[in-house]
Formats: sequence, structure tokens, C-alpha cells
Amino acid sequence: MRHVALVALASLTLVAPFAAPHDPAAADVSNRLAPPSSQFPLGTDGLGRCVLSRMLYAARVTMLSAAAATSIAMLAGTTAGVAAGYWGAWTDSAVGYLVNVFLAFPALLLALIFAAILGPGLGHGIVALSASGWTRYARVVRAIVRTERRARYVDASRAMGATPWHIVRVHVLPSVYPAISVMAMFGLANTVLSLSVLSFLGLGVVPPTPEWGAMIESSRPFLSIRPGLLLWPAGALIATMALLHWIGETTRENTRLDLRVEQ
Amino acid sequence: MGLIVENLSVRIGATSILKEIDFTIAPGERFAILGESGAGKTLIAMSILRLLPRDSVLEGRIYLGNDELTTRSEPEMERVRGRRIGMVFEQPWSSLNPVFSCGSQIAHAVRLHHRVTPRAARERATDLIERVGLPRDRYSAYPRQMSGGMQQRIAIALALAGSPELIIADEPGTALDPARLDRISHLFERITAEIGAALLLITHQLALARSLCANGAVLYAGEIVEMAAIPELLDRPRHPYTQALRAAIIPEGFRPIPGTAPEFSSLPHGCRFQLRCPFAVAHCEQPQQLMNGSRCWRS
Repeated sequence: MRHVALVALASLTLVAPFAAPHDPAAADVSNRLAPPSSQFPLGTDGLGRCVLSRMLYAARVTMLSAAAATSIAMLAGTTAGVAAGYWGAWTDSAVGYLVNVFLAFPALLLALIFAAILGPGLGHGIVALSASGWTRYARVVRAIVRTERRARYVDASRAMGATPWHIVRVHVLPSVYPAISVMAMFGLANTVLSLSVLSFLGLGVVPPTPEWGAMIESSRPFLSIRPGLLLWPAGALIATMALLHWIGETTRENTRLDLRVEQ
Repeated sequence: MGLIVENLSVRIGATSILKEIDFTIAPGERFAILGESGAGKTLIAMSILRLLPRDSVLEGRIYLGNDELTTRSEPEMERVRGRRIGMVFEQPWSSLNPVFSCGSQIAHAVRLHHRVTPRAARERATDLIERVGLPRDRYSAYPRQMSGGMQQRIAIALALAGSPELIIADEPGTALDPARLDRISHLFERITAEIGAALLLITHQLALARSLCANGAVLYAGEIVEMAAIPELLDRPRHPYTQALRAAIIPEGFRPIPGTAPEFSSLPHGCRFQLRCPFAVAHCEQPQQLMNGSRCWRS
């Protein structure tokens, strides 16, 4: 079931160019704030752009950037966690110090700080979100690696002439995988929301790129006359979050992992 | 040739554990190191493999064949471990990773040392499984699906993966009943003869040493107290500790030696056994040399 849901979400990133009835950036001020019609199934926004088309393209932008940010955070966090947990000593201290500095700030605030320093833009948003997200992976991976590297079969493997790289690849990473795959699902949900928050605040995507958070922001002046402009992107955001959390939950149950994932 | 351990001393932190260990194993020879738990037996094996804890200091020299191991760099040691020295650990079940099949773990070990295709490694692993007396289809069995004796055989197959010239077996018989012990002993005898490897047997089981080894040394509190051919060592022991060890095994079972081994942090001056020795006199507080195979001035 969760695989079906995952495929459905992934296909959202593909359908926009085929399913969207209009160019998401094509503005027509003479037809602004139009109610739903056969030509514009969800109506038009304040600049006369097709809301359905923007919704579909926004799904693509959001999912792809969130996936990119989550992957970067996961890779960076796992690398740092393995290095800290496996080699210990000063590597552990250095990574631990860095993680503590990053964890001293709430994740969203950290993302805001990075986005504010880097300036608006989708690429910058992705960097900001990965920078605020990697610490969670680093901490969990470090803890798993630390117990794993003490296993007798790791000692035995070393006595057989295994290189550190072999031990990490064969013995350590497989035991890290279930934990990070669960974390990545919740991480993806978080990142989707954070990206929308950044865009809502004008620090994420740059107009006219469609994005749910940015759409919510631009709907504010018309809330009383066209509440749909808020409800559609907000609904999409809520549905995506719920779906990702559900996938994460079922993955966690499947791996029988007793893992406290901070959210 | 073979293995030469020369004047090996090991300190962990500020505590001196092994002191002036000297022994030689000729190619194809089977040599036993006997002693109680905590005497430092395993530390000798770890010194040869250079897998000591981080804060330890190793002095002395260890030669394997014509190569001095003590001066090798870590990457060079990685090519010695497993390839030229095979290690069989105590408790084979914990030295096997529970998530991989036994065969694939042997294949991993084969590929660590030989540039072969996965298929060839698999083939060689299957051969090794057969060589240690298990059916070939045990390749795909997981460690938990095997009995202790079978796991022990898998551990031996792992040690053979690199065709080593020296096999170190650390307490291979602890978890086995006497009948199994006898079969493992024969297995070691056969495989070392087949590949011409030397064997360093680390054990507290005198019977195992007797059935398997030609020569041996007795270790007490980090020091070799007696070294001789096994029949002589076990039937005509000269050092009081070996005599006590021998007398501990009685037909009714086991009679412990009075007292306990000293802590490494507070060793007595001179003979390390004097606190438990029935013959101790003032002279025992002088440093004792290993003379004619015994570290006791009386013998």
C-alpha cells in the first residue's frame, strides 16, 4: 500500500506538463479572480493565472525540491554520522560540536537564517533546508554505528583483513538503512512544509515559479472573495503531509524499529 | 620462517600485561599457548595481528616468514590479516554477522584477498564449506540455523579463505562437548596438514593441546613460565604453576589452584606465581629467567 502511495506521490512530479490545461505563468489580468469554469477548472488567481495548472506545477516543484533537500541532508548526515561513530576520537568531537551548534537553533529558524543569508531562490531554499536537516540523521546514524562497530563480527572481520571501507559498507551501513529510510519519510514531510513556509515568507521560490506556500501567501488579499485560492494549496499541503507521515508510520512498523524520530 | 615472536612486551595504558614473550613456530608446526583466563593469551594473538587497543604499546619483534610484522603500516597489515594469518575466534556465533548467510560471509572474506568474480568467490566458499566437513548446501544457511559445532566449522572455513600460512585458534574448544572437541581437533590437524599452515592454539584445555600440538608454552600473568614439548610439559612439568595446573585436573573433575592470579597493576617482584606457590621462598622475589624451559630457579 505504502509503495502505491509513494509511486502516486512521485508521479505527481511528472504529470504537470501533461495534465495542466494552461501555462502556469501565463497571466491574463482581464480575467483575474475568475470563478471555476470549464476553461479554468479551479478558477484564476489575482493575476488571472490558471489555479489548477499552478497547483499541478507547484506539486512538482515542491516534491522535487523537498526530495533533493532530504537526500542531501540524508547523505551528509549519514556520512558525518558514520565518520563520527566509526572513527570516534577527534572526528567524533568535531562532528558532535557541529551538530550541537546546529541543534542549538530550531530547525525552521535555522533554515530561515540560511535562506536569509543566501537570499531567495529555489536552489538556496534547498541548501537552507539540507543544512537544517542533516543533524537528525547524523545523530541517529552515529549512535547506531557506535554500537555496531563494537560487534564481535566487526572485530572478526578486521582480523580477516577487512579495510575500514569494507567494514562500513558490509557491516555498518546495512544496519543504518532501516532507521534512515524511516527518518527520510518524516524528513520529507518536514521539508515539504518548511519549503512552503520559506516560500510563504518570500525566502523560497521566486515568482512566478508556482509553489504551494507562495500561492497561499498571494491568496491573502482575496481571502474573503475567493477562499478557494487559499484552500486548494493548503489542502494539497495537508494531504501531502498526511500521506508522507502515513508512509513513514507504516515503514516504521514494517521495520519494527523502535525509533523516536523528532519531528 | 614460520612465526617468530621475539621479546614481545605489551602495555595497555600504564599497565604492563605481556612481558618478554619469546617463542617460535616452524612452518607446519602446531604450537599451544596454555593458561588460565586473563593470563594474556588472546593478547598475544592480537599482538601478532596488530589489533591491540588504541592506548597500548607493543615492544619486541614479530616475524612471519621473512617479514617483520611489527614495523608494518596499517594498510600493509590489512593484507597480512586474513590472507597470511587466519584467525578462529572464541565463540564463533558472535564472530559471524547474523544478517548474512554463512557462505556469503566466507565469499566476502575470499574477495577481500583475491581479485575474483563473485561467482568464483562463491565457488571457493562452497569448496571451503565442504573442506571443513559440512554439506555444500550449507552455503545459504544463516548462523542462527546452525549448531555450535557447525558454526565453529564455518569460523574455520573463514580463517581458511585467504590460504594462510599461520592459523590462530583462540579457545576453539570452549563451547564444545568432548566428542565434538575431538572432531574439531582432527579437523585442525587435517587442514593445517593440507595447506601446510602452522597453528597457534590458544587454550586452557590441556587435553586439546595434547591431542593437537607438538610443542607448547604455559602463560601465567603475562609471562611464559614454562615451554617444552607437549608430552614433557604435561607429563613432567617442572614449573610449580604447570604442576599445579596439571594437578588441578583430577578424575573426579577439577580442583582449583588456591588463590587467584595477581592483578596486572600490582604484580609481585620476581616470580609472578610466588603468591600461590607452595614452594615460595625469599629467593623467589628475585627476577626469574626462563632457563632450560622453566622460569623457576628451583627447577
